[in-house]
Amino acid sequence: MPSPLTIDDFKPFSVTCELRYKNAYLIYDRTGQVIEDVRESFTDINVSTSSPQQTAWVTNEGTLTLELGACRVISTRPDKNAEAFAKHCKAFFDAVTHHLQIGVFTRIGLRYILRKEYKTLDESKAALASMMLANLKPTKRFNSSDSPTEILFRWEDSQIGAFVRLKAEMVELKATVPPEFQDIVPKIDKKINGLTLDIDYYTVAPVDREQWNSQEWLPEKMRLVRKEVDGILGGGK
Amino acid sequence: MSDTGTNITQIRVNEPVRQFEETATRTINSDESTFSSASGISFETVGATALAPVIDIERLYETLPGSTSQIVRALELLKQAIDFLSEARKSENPMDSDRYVQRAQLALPKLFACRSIGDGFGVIINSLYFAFTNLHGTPLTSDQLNVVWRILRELRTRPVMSLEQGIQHAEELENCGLEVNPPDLGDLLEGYESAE
Repeated sequence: MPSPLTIDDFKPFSVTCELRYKNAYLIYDRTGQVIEDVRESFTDINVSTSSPQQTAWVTNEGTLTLELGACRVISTRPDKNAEAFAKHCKAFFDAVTHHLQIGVFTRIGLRYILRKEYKTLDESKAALASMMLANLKPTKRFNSSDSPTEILFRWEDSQIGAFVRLKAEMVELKATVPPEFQDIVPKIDKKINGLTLDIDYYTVAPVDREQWNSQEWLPEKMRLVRKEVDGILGGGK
Repeated sequence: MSDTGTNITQIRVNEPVRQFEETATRTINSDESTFSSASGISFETVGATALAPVIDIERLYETLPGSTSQIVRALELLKQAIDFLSEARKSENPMDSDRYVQRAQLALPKLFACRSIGDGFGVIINSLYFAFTNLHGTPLTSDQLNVVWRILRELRTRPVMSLEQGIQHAEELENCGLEVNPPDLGDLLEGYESAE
């Protein structure tokens, strides 16, 4: 029997911190002020998409998104304890809450996505099945596969919620290069098989702005997520 | 309420995998909204003193053993101080009451070390520290005890309060007869005011 996986067997894919709030109509006047405020905290800021209701910026530290009812920071190179990520979140979220006059967050979410590559999709499915997470006998169900190819657990009470999703899947990376550059840069068309581990830890009850400090909350929750996921992968300890 | 947004959609899942995904319904599709009790709660203040229902601070910062978080440490210290002040309020013997206040006072230097949590936090802890110093051992009056207890409870519920909120609470301490400025600064201000 293969030894149980741990979260360290997976490669971080992205980490996201998202704040949701009641529609903040000051977004129509102050989006520029928000990004001016955070200029010194991020390098190489470029506008990715822009509309009155949603603006996204790509920076070396991650992607910043500001919407009418939410804002988020996404990093594809997260540090293990999320301390640097938390610092960047604080800079962006402080500017958003200040300029958009947000007093209550209806939801705070920390989403951590990791992947473990396998040579084939069947290997990925076998790895998921070997974990026996769903405690189901391997038998054909719904005239489909013997074992589930995706497992999702959700825990939720009136204050805090979390889900953990594991999926054996094949992802396809495709990028089309303009014809005049195709001799220099080859077309990207790659299939990657693996297990995706997707964790979302979030608040259910509203959070007052004066309760939440991202620099304190994020590293602690990342530690919690890693420990809980290790317990689940290790056989539900 | 849908899940935390992510840019994973930039990677396209190959068609053969997609077509075996579950039938999308409102209740089981992972990309759909999830039930949240928050959706039925109004965030509007009702009445003059009602507070919006917010998350329990213990749950927000619930952590694993061995945490180095300043805010977790501060919440523990504030709880200890509030518990001692609660005992002091209940005590009918002034000597016992003062003893409990002195125990609560011991948490202040440790809380001072956590002042980077927020500007409001720093202002309140500084003000309380100097308020006790300026009392020179005189016990708190019943009114002062109630105000200090209430402000620490408020600080524990909203530890990241703004500078303005912190100053407002420092003024409440002053209004109940506590001197919240450092002794030397008080002398300086007095000298400045008399010179004017």
